[in-house]
Order: sequence, then C-alpha cells, then structure tokens
Amino acid sequence: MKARYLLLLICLSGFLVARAQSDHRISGDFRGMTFSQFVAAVEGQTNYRFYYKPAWTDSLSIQAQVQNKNISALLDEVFAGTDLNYAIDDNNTIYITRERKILTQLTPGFFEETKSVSRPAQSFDYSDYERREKQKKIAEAKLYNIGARTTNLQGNATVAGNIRNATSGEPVIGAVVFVENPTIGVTTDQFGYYALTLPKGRYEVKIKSVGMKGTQRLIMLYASGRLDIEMDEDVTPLKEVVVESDQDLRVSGVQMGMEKLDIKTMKQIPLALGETDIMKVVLTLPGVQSVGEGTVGLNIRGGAANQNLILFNDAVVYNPSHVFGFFSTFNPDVLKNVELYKSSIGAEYGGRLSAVLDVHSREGNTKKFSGSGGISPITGRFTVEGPIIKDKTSFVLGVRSTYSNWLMRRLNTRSLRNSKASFYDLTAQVTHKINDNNSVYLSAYTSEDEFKLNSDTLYKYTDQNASLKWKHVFNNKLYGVLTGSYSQYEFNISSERVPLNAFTMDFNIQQWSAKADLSYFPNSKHTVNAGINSTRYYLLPGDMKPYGTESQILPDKIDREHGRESAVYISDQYEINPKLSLYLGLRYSFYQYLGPRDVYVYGNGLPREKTNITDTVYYGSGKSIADYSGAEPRFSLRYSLSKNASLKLSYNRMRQYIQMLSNTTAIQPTDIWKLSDRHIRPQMGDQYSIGIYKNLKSGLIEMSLEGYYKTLQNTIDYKGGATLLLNHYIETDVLEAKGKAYGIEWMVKKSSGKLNGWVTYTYSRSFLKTESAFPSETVNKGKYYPSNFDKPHAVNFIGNYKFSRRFNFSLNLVYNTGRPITLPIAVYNVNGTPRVLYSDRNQYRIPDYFRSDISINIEGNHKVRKLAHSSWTFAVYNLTGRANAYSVFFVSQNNAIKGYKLSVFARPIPTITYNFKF
Amino acid sequence: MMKLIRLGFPFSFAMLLMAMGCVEPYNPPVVRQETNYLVADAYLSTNDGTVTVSLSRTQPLYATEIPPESGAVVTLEDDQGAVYPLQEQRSGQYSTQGVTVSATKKYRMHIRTSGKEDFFSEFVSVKTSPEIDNVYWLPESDGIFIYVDTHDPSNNSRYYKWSYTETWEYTSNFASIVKILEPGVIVPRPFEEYMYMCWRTVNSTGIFVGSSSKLQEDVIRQYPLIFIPKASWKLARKYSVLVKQQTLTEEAYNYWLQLEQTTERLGGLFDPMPSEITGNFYNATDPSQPVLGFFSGGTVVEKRMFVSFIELPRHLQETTRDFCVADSIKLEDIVNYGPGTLLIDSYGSPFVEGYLTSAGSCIDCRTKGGTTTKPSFWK
Repeated sequence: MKARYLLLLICLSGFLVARAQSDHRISGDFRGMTFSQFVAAVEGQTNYRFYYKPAWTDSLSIQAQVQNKNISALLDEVFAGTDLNYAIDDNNTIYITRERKILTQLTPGFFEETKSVSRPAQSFDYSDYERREKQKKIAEAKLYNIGARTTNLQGNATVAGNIRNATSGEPVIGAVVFVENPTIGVTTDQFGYYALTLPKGRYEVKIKSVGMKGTQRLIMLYASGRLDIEMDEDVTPLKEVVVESDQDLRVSGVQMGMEKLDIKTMKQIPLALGETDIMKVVLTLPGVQSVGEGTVGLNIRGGAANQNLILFNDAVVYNPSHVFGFFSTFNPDVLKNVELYKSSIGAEYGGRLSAVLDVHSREGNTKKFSGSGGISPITGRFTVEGPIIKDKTSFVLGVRSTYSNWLMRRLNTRSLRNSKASFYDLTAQVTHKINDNNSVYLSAYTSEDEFKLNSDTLYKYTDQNASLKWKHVFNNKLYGVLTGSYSQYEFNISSERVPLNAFTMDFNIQQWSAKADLSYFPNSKHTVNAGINSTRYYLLPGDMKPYGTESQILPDKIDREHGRESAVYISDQYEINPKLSLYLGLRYSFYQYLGPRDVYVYGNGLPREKTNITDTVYYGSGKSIADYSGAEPRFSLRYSLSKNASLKLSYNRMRQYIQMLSNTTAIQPTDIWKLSDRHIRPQMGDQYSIGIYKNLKSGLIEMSLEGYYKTLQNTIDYKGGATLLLNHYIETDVLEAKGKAYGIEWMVKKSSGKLNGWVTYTYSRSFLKTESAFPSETVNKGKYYPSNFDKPHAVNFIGNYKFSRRFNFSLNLVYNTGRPITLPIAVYNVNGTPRVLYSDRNQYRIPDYFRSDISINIEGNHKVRKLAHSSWTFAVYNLTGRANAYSVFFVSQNNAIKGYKLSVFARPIPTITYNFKF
Repeated sequence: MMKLIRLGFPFSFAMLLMAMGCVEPYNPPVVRQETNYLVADAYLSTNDGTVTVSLSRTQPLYATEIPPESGAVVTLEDDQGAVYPLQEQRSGQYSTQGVTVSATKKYRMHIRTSGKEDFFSEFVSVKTSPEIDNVYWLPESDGIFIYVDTHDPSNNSRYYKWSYTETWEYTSNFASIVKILEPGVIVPRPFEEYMYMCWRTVNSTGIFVGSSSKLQEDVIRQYPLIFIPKASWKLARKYSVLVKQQTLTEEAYNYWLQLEQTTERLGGLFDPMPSEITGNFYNATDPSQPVLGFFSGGTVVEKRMFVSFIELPRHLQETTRDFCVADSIKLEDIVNYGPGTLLIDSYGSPFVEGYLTSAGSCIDCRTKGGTTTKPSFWK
C-alpha cells in the first residue's frame, strides 16, 4: 500500500513539468538477465530511468532479444505473462507497478474546475472486487492436481469439497458442478458440499449457481481428492455485460414440483406491511393458496395448512405466523433461502401429507463483522453477523419486534385503543468448522406473540425451536449428518376482568427429534441417501386453571398425550443414461401412541357419541395404546426430450401422525394439535404428478407445466358446531374424511436480466367427503364437497424491472376465484327474531379476488467504502383499492336478515421502509 | 364462562378487522334451494302453567313475511301419559294455560300439522330459575355496560338464558302547548295530548346464554348483557331495563349457543364454519326432514333496573340533538293552517304577534317510536 502511494506522489510531481517524450530505439539480447541487470542495460543505452520495487521483480527472468525496437515494445515483451505493468512519463521515467498501470497523464480538463468530474484518483483505487476478479482469473487458469501424481489414469476418482461464497464464506447451496464432455454433473447439498465422480483425467470443471458468478477450475484428476471452491456473488458491476449461466436444473434435475427462492428474489417482491415475508412470496407460486388475506396457512395442492412440514434449519415450526398471519415468523434478514417441495418429496422428509417448506438461515459472514436492519411503519429488525474465529466459526443473530401497541394506543377507535398486539422473535445460528471433515451447526429460534382484542381476554403464544447438526465427511464419497432438534409451541389464554371468572388456560406441544443421514456417491451415476430418525412428542391438549384467590373456576385438564414416530429411509438417484434419470426412495414409518392415559371405548355399530361409551381402559405409562406403521414409496423419473426440454413423472406416498384441529376457515394461533390415537387414525396421502419443462433462450426463460392428482385418506373433518378446546371426548366431534385434489400448474419464469419475474396460472380443485353409516357423522350427506381452499383459477404475476443499479420497480398481480362459503338459504323465526338456515357446507363462493401491488426500491450510492449502505422501499399494497371480500356474513338486525362483506385492505396501503447494512 | 373461552377470540378479532377494514352490504347471488321446514318455537312456563307454541315455515332469504303454520293440532304431553291440548289463539300461535307443572315430570310437544305430518319434541324436564341477584351498569370510556349477576346455592341451574325489555324516556325538541283546533282557532293543548315526553319500549332480539359449568359454584358474575354508547337516545333522560332469566338444560344451552354462534357471529375466517342447527324436534312421519326450533320449560324470573342521565359520570353526559329550527307564522297567516300543523307556542309580547312551528319530528316525540303513555312501572 505504501509503495503505491509513494509511486502516486512521484508520478504526480512528475506531471508538473511537461516535456515531449523522446523516441529511443533499443537493441540487445537480454536473455537470462535478472530484472535489475536488464534495467542497468537499458539505462545504459538510453536516458530512461526505472523506478521499481525489487521485491516485485526479482523473480523475473528476462527472455527478450530485440533489434531496434522502442521501449514500449521491449517492455511489453518483458512483462508479457506477468502481472507487472509499466508507465512512461514525459521525463522518460519508467514506473513499474504490479497489477495496475500508473496514469502518467492527467485527465484532460483536470485543472478546469467545472470539468473535473472524472475523478482520476479513483483510477488508482483497487477495489476488493477487482482483486477478487484477479484472483478468480488466476484460480481459473491454474491447473489443480487432484490426488498424487501418477501415470495410471485407469478407472474413476472422486473430487469433492465445499463451495463457498468468497465474500462471506457461507456455503453455496444448489450450485451445479459439472464437466461438459462427458456431461456429468452434481449439485451441492445444503452444506454446499459436492462430490463428483469422473474417469481420471484432465477436466474443466464448471460451477454455476443462481445469484453467483459462474466459475471454473482446471483439474487433473489422478486420484480421489478435495477441491474447495469459492464463488463470487453476482453483484453486477457497472457497464459489465452479464452472461447468465445456464441454470438448467429445472429441466435436467429429477426433482419436480419444487421451487427454490433465495432471499434476494424475495426481497424484490412488493410488501404489504413493510417487510419481506417468505410466506407471502411462497403464496405467489403456482399451486399454493390461502383462505384469505392476512392468513398464513398455506394450502398446497389441495392440502390443509397443517399438512405442510415447515422446517427451520431442520427443526419443525408449528406456527409460522405473527399477529394472525399478517407477518410470518421468519426474520428476512437472517434467511438464506426457502425450498418448497410440492411433489416428488425426497424420502428423507416425512410426517406431513402435503408439502415441505424447508427454510434455511444464513451461516454468517466468516470473514468480517457486518450488520443489517430495517424500519417499517409496524416493525423494526436488526441483524448482526460475523466471525467468532475467522474462517472457522461464524454467527448470525437477528431480532425483530413491533411497536404496534404504541400505534394502537394512538388510534381513535375504541376497539383498537383497547386492543394490544405485539410480538418479537430472535434467531441465532452458530457455525463452526472443526476441520475439513467436520462441521457443527447450532441454530435457535424463539418468538412470542401477545394480543388482546377489545376484550378482557389475553392471548399469548410462543414458538421455539433449536437444532444441532454435526456433519462428518468420512471420505470423498461418503458423508453423514447427525441432527438433534427440539420444537415447542405453546399458547395461553387468560382473563382477569371478573375475579370470580379469572382463569388461565395452557396448551403445549413439544417434540424431540434425532436423526442420522448418510449421503453416498458411489459413482457419477448414483447418489444414495439413507437415514434413520425418531421423534418423541409430548402434548398438553388443554389445562384450565383458576387465576387468583377469588376465582371459582374449576380446574380442567385433558390428559397429556405421548407419541413416538420413527422412520428409516433409503433412496437412490440413478442416472441411467444422459436421457433418463430415476429417483427411487422408500421410507418406512412407525408410530406409537403411548400411555399413561384413559381411553374410551365406544359401542360397536353405534355413532361415536358420549352416550355410547361402553368402557374406559387405562394404559400405564409408556404402554402402547395404538400402533401404526407403513411404507412410503417415493419415485420420480426424468426423461430428456432434447437439450432444453424434459418430461418428468413422480409418485409419492406420505403419512401424517399429528394434526392440527381447526374448524374455523383459517387456522388461528389457538388451534390445538392432536396426535393420532386409537380413534383418530393417521392420515395418508398419495400423489401422482407429471410435468413438462422447457428452457428457452438458453435457459433465460424457463417454462413448466405440471399436473397432479392426489388422494387423501383419514383426513380430518368436523361436525357442525364442534368444540375442540378442552373437549375430553374430542373424537366425538372429529370426523374421518377422504379427500381428493387435482390440478394443472403452468409457469413461465425469467430469473435474470433487467426484467425478471414469473407468471403462473393454476387450475386446481380440492374436495372432501365424510363416510359414515350415521347421518350425524357426515357432512353434506356424505357427498364430496369443496374444501375451504378450493379456488379453481389462480393467476399470479411477479415482475421486477431494474431501471438502474439503484432503482428497481416491482409489480405484483394476483387473481383467484373466491373461496367457497356456506350461504344462508332460508330464514325462519325464533322468539320473534329471524334466524338464517345455512346450506350444505361450502356450496357457494365469495366474489373473486384481485389485487395489484407495486414497490419501488431505491438504493443508496454504491461507494465501496461507506459506513453503511441503505435503501428505501416505497410500496403500495392493493394499488387499485379493490375491496376484496375477506368474508361474507349474515346477521339478524332489527328483525331483518342483512348480508355484509368484510374487506381487510379495502384501500391502497402505502408503506415506506428503511433498510440498512454495514 | 365457556363462552368467553371459546368465542372471545374470533369474535373480537372480527371486531378488530371491522375497525381496520371496511364493511359493505352484500347480497349474494340468488340462492335457488327450496326449503319448507317446520319451525316450532315452544316454551312451557311454570310460573303460571302457560304453554306457548308458535309454528311457522322456513322462507326464502329475503322474504319479508313469515307465514304462520295454521290449523295444526298441538298438544303437550307428560311422561305419565297426560295430554293437554293447545288452542290456536292467533294464526300460528298456539297456547293453553293452567297446566299444573311438576318438576319431577318430563314433558314433550306433539304437533300434527294440517298436512297430517306428526312432529314430536324430545321429553324435557322443567328447570326452576334462581332469582337474579343484581342488574347493574358500569361506565366504560364511551358508554355503559349493563351486567347481570345470579347464583344458585343448590348448584343445579348452571345454564342460563337471558332476554330483556328496554324502556327509555325521551323528549322532543320543542314542547307544543297550543294546537290548531280548526283554521284560525288556536286553543291550549290539553295535557293528555302533550307529545313532548315519550317512552319507548323494545324487546331484545339477540340470544344471551351463559354457563357456570366450569365453576366450582353455580355463580354468574358480571355477565355483559347490553352496551349503550354515550349520547344514545336511550340515556338522554332515563333508561330502564327489565331482565328476564330462565334456567336451561345442557341440551337447550348448547342449542341456543350454537344458534347464536351461527346466526349472530360475523362469519369471519376465525369463526366456526356455519352449519345447520336443528333443535329437539323430529319429524315422526318422515325422519329425513329436518325440523327447526326448540322446546323447553321452566320458570322465568325478572329484575328491573333504572339509569338516569344525571347518574352518569361526567364524560358520558352527552346528548344527541336533532337539527331543529323553529319557524314563525304571522298572526295574519295563521288562518291558512289546519290542525295538521303543529304549533309550539305564541310569540310576541305583550301582544301575540304569531306562532312558532317546526318539523313534526321536532315536536312530536312519537315519531321516534315511543308512546306518550307513561309505563306503570316508571318512577
């Protein structure tokens, strides 16, 4: 650095005297000279003076021999292939610099103040970016020898290693590592790990990933070995032409019905409440629905919200929402990416019928400390990350909270002023790399919500989870991950207004899980995964207690529930030939509902009602009350139709042993979870799907068309007016139902370029049917009827347009058919007041839904050395102000029946968010 | 109590959304589904042994008239085989008096319609209600809440249902003390024709049920019954409410609770999905046909409460006034007005120059639905 400034000073002083450069010709044979000898020789012939740093040049061996050439030609020859540069000024002074050439002329107009905008000083500035570019070039040109050098190049060898982000040191997930001739490729797993088995020899290994700059390595593969690769983030520098990599995973992978979104994509989508919300982004994907605005329950391909497995760093999340679903529980600043599996769900996943939403947090910058945060009208968040031990241990810590209570107290409506709604959440992750073969990951999450809505009743809920992972690489072809995780969800309802009736009620569910997973790469054609796992559930379905000394409330507690769910699985991804790939997986799950508990026995051939209980059987602690087990085959196939198109098929069976009970249209935080027991059997689902994928314009545009058919068994339905909280005979209010769902999903996606985004159209149906000999145990007379989230037509458009590096515009359009509702069909009089009689369940629909949102993102300037980078986001939610029906209801008012439509966001909602990063 | 736990959350959430969002009238597409179910609403009062049954049929959603079911043969039966016939008093209204009700017996209704279909209710036992301990009000920031307390030392009541009748005293803007007898003839208004002060009486229409089944003792404390916002006409001078209480069986309680949930709730995403609510009647001729309504019996106890404007805390002492302007009619023009024109009083001093008049709604309090007859209980 010092040398550089010194040179700068020297050359600047040199400019003060301007003289014409004389044109000396040089001849001579300099071969074999050191650089200093060469300098002496040239200075002897001419009046040139060299300024150089011997440390930079002493390794240089001159190979030049010239006849009557000018100095430039000679120096060009001397420095060819090195990173040294030279500059000659008007005093015939020659400056030798490394990497960068000194400018010996000031920019024209330097002394004319009005024109001095070109900032010549900047030309001397090395940016990190340029240094990395240089390193990258060197790394790409270098030949890496893998394994001990040998002449025997028979057979195969495996090169394996981690792919990391060069800036932050975080692993790059889902990067494609491949060689082109023959075409053999793999993708990195969740740890950024890859293992590529190739016939021994020399290769150009290419590495590509979304949002990262493609890179390559020349390798000479002698034997199995390691190659860690760093990739640069694709921060498009000014005026650089970007040639996006061929991201053809969608076409070439065996996986189907899968969407992966990284946080960068998600951050571009317009926001309703000033914050990136992954659940809302997932909702824009084809096949994903919700029952209404501001609800977080995702209905994926006709499945209920509780049929989705939501994982946060491998720990199950029971309630992914804050404030009834207006916010999701995931702090956008700590997230890395989200993977959604709608079909062809891998054998390593199980326990829910519908879909898997796998959320990963970032591992933290391993190189330097940094922080980020944001302030929106309702929430504030702050995240800090950095190395604990440089390049070995890193952490991320994010916190988020709301100041909605403060806002509500300022509102002029009584119902709002007397209300309270607040939440916070904390996310932490620590990653420690013990050595090349061992890494440990610790993740923890906790959140709390509290609300009181114009009433005396206070609702609180907390969601907590933690996971600890140890990854061990046995050898290049085999690694294993040992994971322990813990999740807990708990809610509490309390009321103190009337001391006599003061109570507190608790619900709690805990699960402890342990699993071991192995990944084995025997050769380039097979990827084998196998594992074993077990989960223990502890559930407190409801415990009501008096609060305070005056309270008359009778304690009421439902017996605790216990269960154990275990599974083993094995899967193989087999590339039969470049055209045909197969995925075969088998999972076998085993579940026990355990004592201690009293179990009611209902009379045979009688409706399941309290009055038909014939016996009560007690099971001791740890005794199995009910056992269920079954195979869960998973299969998928990819056939390449051409280089840019493929056809895929898949089938999967899932089993679910724990369910949420909710007889409201949308799930709510006070819905309870229930383990499968003797009366409520585990749910089972089968899905068949087929899809065609095509890439246009060399992968710039991805098109897909997927169709599916799904059947559900033993799914849950409810009797009219069912009571689910504190019900000792819950099985008498719950019905067993069959379900079927089918649909077609079409998507066109452009993931890069100035204009990017996606358009989707989905046609989907979803039905339920209760079967029972007793009319009291059927809904709609035992016929198939549309589920709450059966919305046949859905169209989504997400578009981003980058006007410049600092200015980004996004538009979001949503259309779907209104959800089914139960309408009144008749009116009758009771006690002189009209009452309505409702139709069969879900026979009508609310009006169609349409919304448009826009957002504008303005980044601060892009100076590299700035204290903090900031950006402003201006967004308008529901730009057209369309009053979309949230619900429709009928009330008897003043002796007449009146129908009303409630819209939540009936006006355009503008928000402004300030984000910062340092 | 249960009610608070089960319903507090969805109800208030819908309220919150209503405060934030926007509610518009909505008429669903015309529903073409014919229903013609019998609706039987029956009560056996043990106070005086009266049985009242009202029979009607379900009607399309926006029907204004609900035609009664006439010509049915209605009887009350007890479990000992005694039968008490009811007479049709008005169309669709059947009743009889003087039944000697025994708490040890169970009763049911039998209805044979003119269409020769037989309907029965389940046998029910009659419940005796304990006295209402207290009906009282407490101020809120923007109105008053009226609460009811009761308890049963024998712990047998447990399920309660309330209804009420509100009466309030109010005045018109201007007191008319003269009237036009015939054009040109002005006489003082006789006191019995004064229309300045009125009393309006309205019955409750909602369903109010509560239970102490989750409590050690059979106590209902501070059951919120009525909310009156400040500046309401009801509180302008004096307000009174007569609360009626009856005790229910568990089945009856569940019926009313469900009926309340499905027909009075706001149908939001956090409310239970609506369903068909049938009571304790069944169709013996065609069991697949639903019957709506409920039969129950017991005593009804009452308690009355008064609130005066001056008792209200200062922050609630606000009244609403109509926009009323007095207009003058000059003496020479008065001959052009007949008895239909309401006069307030004369003006001019010491000699009458003319008379003041105003809009009918500013002078005649009856236009707001009350009567000028003071109720006998008023104090």
